[in-house]
Amino acid sequence: MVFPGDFPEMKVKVEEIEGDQILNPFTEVLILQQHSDIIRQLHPVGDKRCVSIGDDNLAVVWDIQLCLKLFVLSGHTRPITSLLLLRSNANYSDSDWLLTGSSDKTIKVWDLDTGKCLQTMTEHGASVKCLLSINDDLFLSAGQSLHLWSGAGKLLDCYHRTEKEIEDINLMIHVCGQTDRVVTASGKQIGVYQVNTTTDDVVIVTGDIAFVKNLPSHLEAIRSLTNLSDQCFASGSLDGTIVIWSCQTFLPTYKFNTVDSYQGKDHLYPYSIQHVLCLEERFLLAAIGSGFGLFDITTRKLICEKACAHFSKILHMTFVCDGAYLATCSEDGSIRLWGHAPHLNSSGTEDKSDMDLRPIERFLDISCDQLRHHKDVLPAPVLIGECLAHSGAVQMVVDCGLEGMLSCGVDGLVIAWKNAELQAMKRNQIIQEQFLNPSGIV
Amino acid sequence: MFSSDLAYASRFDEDNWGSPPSYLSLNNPVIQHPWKLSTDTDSLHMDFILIAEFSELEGPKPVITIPKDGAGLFDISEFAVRIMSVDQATAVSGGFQMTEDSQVILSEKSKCVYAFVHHFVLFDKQARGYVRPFAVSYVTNDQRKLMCCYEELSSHLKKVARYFKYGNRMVFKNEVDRYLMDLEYTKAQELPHYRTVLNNTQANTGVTEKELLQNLKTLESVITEVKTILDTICATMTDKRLEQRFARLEENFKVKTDQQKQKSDLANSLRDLEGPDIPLTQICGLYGAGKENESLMFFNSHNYKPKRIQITGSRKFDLHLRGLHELCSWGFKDGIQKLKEMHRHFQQDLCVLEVERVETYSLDPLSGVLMFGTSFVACNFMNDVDKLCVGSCCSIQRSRAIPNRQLSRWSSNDTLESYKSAASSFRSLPDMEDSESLVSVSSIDGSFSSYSGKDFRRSSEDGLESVQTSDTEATSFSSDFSFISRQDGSLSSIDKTLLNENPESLFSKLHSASNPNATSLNKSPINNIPLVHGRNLLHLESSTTEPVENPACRGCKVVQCNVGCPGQTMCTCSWSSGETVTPSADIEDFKLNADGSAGSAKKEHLDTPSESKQGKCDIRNGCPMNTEGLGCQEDFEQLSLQHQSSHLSFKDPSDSTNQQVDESNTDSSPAFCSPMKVTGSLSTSKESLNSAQGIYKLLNNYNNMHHVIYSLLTGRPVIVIATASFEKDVKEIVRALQHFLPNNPRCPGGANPNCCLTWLSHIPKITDLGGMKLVGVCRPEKKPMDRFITPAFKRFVTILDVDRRLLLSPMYQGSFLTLLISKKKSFKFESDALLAYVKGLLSEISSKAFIFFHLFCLGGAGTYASGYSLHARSKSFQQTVVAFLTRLGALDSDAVIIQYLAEVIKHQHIENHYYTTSNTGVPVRPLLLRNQNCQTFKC
Repeated sequence: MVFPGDFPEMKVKVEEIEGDQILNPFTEVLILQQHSDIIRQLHPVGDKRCVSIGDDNLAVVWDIQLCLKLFVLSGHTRPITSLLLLRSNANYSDSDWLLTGSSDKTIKVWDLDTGKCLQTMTEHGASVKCLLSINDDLFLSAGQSLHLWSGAGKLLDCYHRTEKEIEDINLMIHVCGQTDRVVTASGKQIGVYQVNTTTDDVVIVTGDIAFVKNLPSHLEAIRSLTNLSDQCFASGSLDGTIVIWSCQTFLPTYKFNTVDSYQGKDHLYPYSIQHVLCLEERFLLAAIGSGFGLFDITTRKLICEKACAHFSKILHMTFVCDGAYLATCSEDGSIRLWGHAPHLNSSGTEDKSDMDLRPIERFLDISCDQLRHHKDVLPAPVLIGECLAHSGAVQMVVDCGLEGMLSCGVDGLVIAWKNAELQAMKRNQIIQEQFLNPSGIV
Repeated sequence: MFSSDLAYASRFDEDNWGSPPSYLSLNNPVIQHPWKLSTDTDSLHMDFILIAEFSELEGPKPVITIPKDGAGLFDISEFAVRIMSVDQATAVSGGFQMTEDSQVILSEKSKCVYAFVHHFVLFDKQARGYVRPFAVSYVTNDQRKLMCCYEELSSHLKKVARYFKYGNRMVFKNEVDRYLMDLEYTKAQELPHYRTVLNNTQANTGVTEKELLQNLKTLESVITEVKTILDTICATMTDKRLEQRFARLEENFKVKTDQQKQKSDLANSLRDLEGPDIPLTQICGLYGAGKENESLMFFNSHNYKPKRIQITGSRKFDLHLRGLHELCSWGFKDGIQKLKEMHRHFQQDLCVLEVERVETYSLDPLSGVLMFGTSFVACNFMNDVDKLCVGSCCSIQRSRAIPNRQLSRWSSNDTLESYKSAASSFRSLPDMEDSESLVSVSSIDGSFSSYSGKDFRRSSEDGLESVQTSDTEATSFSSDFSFISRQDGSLSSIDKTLLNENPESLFSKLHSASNPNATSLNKSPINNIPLVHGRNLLHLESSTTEPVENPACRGCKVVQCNVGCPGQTMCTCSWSSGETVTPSADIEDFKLNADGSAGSAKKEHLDTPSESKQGKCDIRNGCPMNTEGLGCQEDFEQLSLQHQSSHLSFKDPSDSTNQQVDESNTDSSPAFCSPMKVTGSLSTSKESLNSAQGIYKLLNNYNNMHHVIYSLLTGRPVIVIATASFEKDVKEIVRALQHFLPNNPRCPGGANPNCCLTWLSHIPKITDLGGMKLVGVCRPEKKPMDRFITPAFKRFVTILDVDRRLLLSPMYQGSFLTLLISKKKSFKFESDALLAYVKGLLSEISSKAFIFFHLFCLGGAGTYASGYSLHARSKSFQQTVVAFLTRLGALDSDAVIIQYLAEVIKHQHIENHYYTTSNTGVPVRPLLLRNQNCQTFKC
C-alpha cells in the first residue's frame, strides 16, 4: 500500500474539526507541571499512578486519579532515556520498583511507594538506551553493550558488541520462542540474542547473554519493534516498511508498505513507521508518516487507513475508551481521536451489547465475523475529536481506562484528558469519603 | 460583609494564630446610635479603647486612646484614675515576680459608661520595682455589649496584652542582659582597683577601703538580683512563634532601612504605625530616651561593649519614664494594630456584632464557602453539616441500590398517602421512563429512621409546640431525590421552624435593639417579626444616620431568605448556620414551606421613611421552591411551572411605595425560601457604589455580556483583550466581571491570588488557565487577534475583543442570566440596586447549587453510573444529573452553572484536604472543555 502525496505538500488535505466535538469524551483537562524539558516517555503504574521521564534528568510519579504529583525522582545527572517497572516480587520487596536508565551511564532503582532511590547501578559503564525485563527476576540494559541483571540488581553478564556496530541499541523486545531470546534494534540492524540462566531453587544464580544472529537489515533506521504474538514480531522503519518476522526462524514472513522513493522530498521520510501497535495478536496498527493504517496479519490485508491524519508525523498511538477510539499524537502538537461515525438511532440499549464487543470491533464498528467476509478496505476512521493543549510535539499518549488518557510532550507537560462527568462522580465519592466520614466510622 | 482586604488578610496574615477570622468588619463609618444619643456632654459619642498607666511619677494617667479623639468630651483622665484605682494587689513580697493579668468590668452608671479593663504589668529597668502597671480598657456606653461579647473582648484583650507583654519582656531581657554585662564589667574593673587600694593603703585616693568593699558588695548583690530577674524572665519566654514574628518584623524593618539611620527611622516607623490616633504630645519624648539600637529587639549581645557603671546603693527614679513603644518595641506595633482592628469591630452596634457572630460562624469551614468576586459570600455548603448523620445516610444509600424496594417501602407506609402519588408521578416523569435511569435516580433510597438527639431541632416561638424530632418521631429520609417525613401522618400539621442555634435570644436582642417605629413597618401577616426584619432594621438604623448609604446596596447584606408557613415563625432558613443542618432537614424544611402554601416568605429590603426617595428594592426569590420536586410533592407539573416562575423581581422605584411589606405574595406567588444566608459584601459605600456602577456600565455598554458571565460561572477562563489604548476599558470590564467570578480567596490550599488580573502584558500560558479565570490582556498593535491567540488556547477560553467589540464565547441558553440582561435597563438610577440584584441572583443560583451538592453529590446518585465503558457511564451520569437539575428548575446552561458551582466546592474541599493532610501537593484544578460550540457575538 502506498500513501498518497509527498510530505509535506500533501495532496490530501488534512481534516480539521470545527465546532462541537460531541463524541469527544475528554472534556476535562488537567495539566501536570513539573518537568522543565522534553518528556520522553510516560508509563502507567497500576491503575492509579504513572511515571514520566524527561530530559531534565527527572522522573516524576503522578497520581492519575486526582492528578497530583507524588514524587519527583531526582538523582540522574543526564537525561533519563528508559524506564522499566519491576513488579513487586516477594523475593525482594513489597513495593513496586522503578528502574530508570540514563545517559549518565547509571541505572537507578526507585521505590515507587516512597520515592526513594534504593540502588544505583554503575556497572553498565555506558549510556543506557533501553531496559527490558525478562520475567520478573531478570532484566537487560542496553546501549553500546548489553548487560544482564538479576532482579536484585546483581550484574550477571555483559555482552560487548563488536566495533563495527557503532550505533547503540535503542529498542529491545523479548520474544517468546523456545528459549528466552531478545531482539534488539540498533540503527537499521536487528540483532537476536539468547539469554541463558541457571537457577538455584528459585533464585537466579548465573546468567549469560549470547549473540545469535543479525537479521536482514532495513533500509533505514528502525523506529518501532513490537511483539505481535508468540509466533512473530514486527519491525517498522524510517523507510516505510513493516516487516513481520517469525520468532522461530527469525526470517521475514511478510513485508507491508514497501515504498520505492521512501525518502520523499528533502529527506523527510513521509512514510516513516513511527509506531506499531498490535491488537489481539492479529491486527497491526502502524503510524505511517502523518497517517495510520490497520492491517490484518493473518490475511495480510489492509483493513482501513487514514492518510494525512495529522499535519505532521504521528509519534504514538493508543486505543482509548475500550477501543472505541484511536488516539494519535503527533509532532503537530495535537492528539486526535478517530472512530466511527455515530449511529443515528443510537439508544441506551446499545450499551449492553456494546459491552461484549472486542475493542477492535468497537473501533471498526463491525464484528469480527463480518470483517472476515469483508473484501474491501473499510472506510477510513472519522475524526471524532481533537485534543489540543500541548504547545509542541506530543511524544506519547497513554490509555488509562476510565481515568481517560494521558499525554506528554516536548513542552514538558503531562496532560490528563478526562471525562468531566466521571470526574465529577469521582469527586463526589472523595467528598463523601473524606467529608462525611473522616473517621471512617459509618 | 467581608471586605476584600480582610478576605485576604486571613490567608496572608500569618498572625492569625489559627483563630477564626476575627474581624469581619463592616467597614462602615462609625454609626452612631440615633436614639441613644444623650444630651449629656459628658457621655460618650462612641466606643473607644483607652490605655492607661499608673505612672510612678504622675499617678494614674491615660496614655493612648483609640481612636485619637474617641473619648470626645469625656474626661479620660478621671476615668483613668478610676480604672487604675482598682488595685492589682501586686503584693511584691520577695523581690521580682511575674504578675498575673486581671480583667474587670467597670461601670459608671451615672455617666452611662462601661469599660472592660484588662490590667497588665510591663517591665522597665528604669522603673520602680522594675514594673509599670498598665491597663487597656474597652470603653463603651452599651453595657450589654460588654456582657454579650465578654468572651470575645476578653480573648482579644488577652491577645493584645500578650503582644505587649512579650515584646516588653524581650526588650526588658535585652536591657537586663546588657545591664548584667555592665555589672560584670564593672566588677572586673573594680576588683583590681580594690586590690590596688588594699595593697597601696598609703596612697589616698579619696575612696576608703571600706567604701570600696561596700561598693563591691552592692555590686555583687545587684548582680545576683539581676540574675534572678533574668532567670524569671527567661522562664516565661517560650513563645517561639511570637518571637519569630517579631524577628521577621525587625528583619523587614532592617532591610527597609538599611541606608537610613536606624534609630530615627524606627521612631518614625513606629510613629507611622501609631498614626494620628496617638496624640503627638504622647509621642514626643517617647523617642528621645532610647539609646542606640535600644529599640531594636533582637540586638546582638556580642556587639555590645560593656561599660563601667556607677553603683550606688539606691537607684534614682527621676528619669523620664519611657513610652509604651519603647517598652514593647514590635509588640507595641502589633498590639496597637490589634487594638485598632478590635475597635473597628466592636465599635459597631451590638446587633451588628450579633449578626456578625452568627455569620462568622457560617464561614466554617472555609472550604465550603462559595464566594463570588472578592467579597460576596453566597453560601456555605458545608457549615455544620452533621457529618456522621449524612455519612450514615449515604452509606445506607450506597448499600441499597434496588429501586423497587424503595418504592414498595413508600407504598407500604400508610402514613404517606401523599407520597404514593408522589412516587407514581415520580415514575411517570418523562425522563424517568428509562428503567435504568430510574435505578440511578432512586437507588439512593437509604431511608433512615430515628435521627435521635443531635439532628433536627425544630422549635417554634410563641408557645407553639416545640417539636423535637426524636426516636418517637422517626424521620425517614429517602434518596437524594426524595424526602419523606412522617409526622403524625399529616404533613400539613407540621409546624416547625428550623432555627439558628439560639434564635430566640438573637431575635430578642435584635428586636430590642430595633426601632419600634421601624418594627411597625412590617405589616406582615405573621405574628412574629421575622428575624430578617430585625436585621433589616439594623441597617435602617444605620441608613438613617447615613443617608448617603443606599438602602439597596446595604440591603444586599441582608438579602436573606425566610421560610414562611402559617403559624410558623419566619426564620432565617439558614442552611449554613444552626446545628440542624443536614440535607434532610433542609429538604424537610422546604417541604414544609411548600405545604404552607398560604404562607409567605419573603426576602426584601425595607426602607425607612427617610429613604423614601430611594424607593424600594424588592427582590423575590422563588428558587428553592423547586425543591418540592425533591420532596416528593404531588404535583410535579405545577412544580415545573414554578420553575418557570422562579424570578427575581425588581420594582421600579417610582411606582413602589415604601414601608410596606409585600403582602400580595401571600396569595399568588409561590412561597420561597433560599437555603442560605446571603452574606452580602458591605464594604464602604463608595466601593460598593463603584462596583455597582461598574456592573451597570458593563451591562449597558456592552451587549451579550450574559455569555461572558456564563463563562465565568462555568469556570471557563475569560480573556479580555484590547490594545493598549483601551487599557482603561479593559480594567473596568474585568473589575465589573469579577463580581461574577466564583472564587474563594480564603480557602486554604485552593486559593489562587491570581485568579483575576486586570491587565497583563502577555497572553497567559495554557498552564496558568487552571487558576486564572479572568484576565485582561494587552494585545500589541501590530499583532492581529488570530495570531495572538492560538487555536488550542481558543478552545479553552472565552475571548472578549474590546477593540473590535467581538465576543467569542459559548452561548448561554438559560433563564438566570437572561433575567439579568432583561432587567439591566431598570437600574438606571439605582446602579447599586443592580448590585443587590446581581447578588440576589447569584445567591439564588448558589442555593440551587447547594441543593444539588447536598442531595445529589453527597447522595448515592452522585457516585452511581450504569454502564461499563467510559462513554456509557458518563452518559448515564449526565442523564441523572440532568434529571435532577431539571427538577431543580435548572435547564440547559443553568444546569451547567450549578454543576460547576458544586464542583468548585468539591475542589475547595479536596484541595483543602490535601493541603492540610498531605505533603505531596494539591490536586490540579482542571480546565473544562464542554462540548459546546463557541460562537462569535457582537458586543
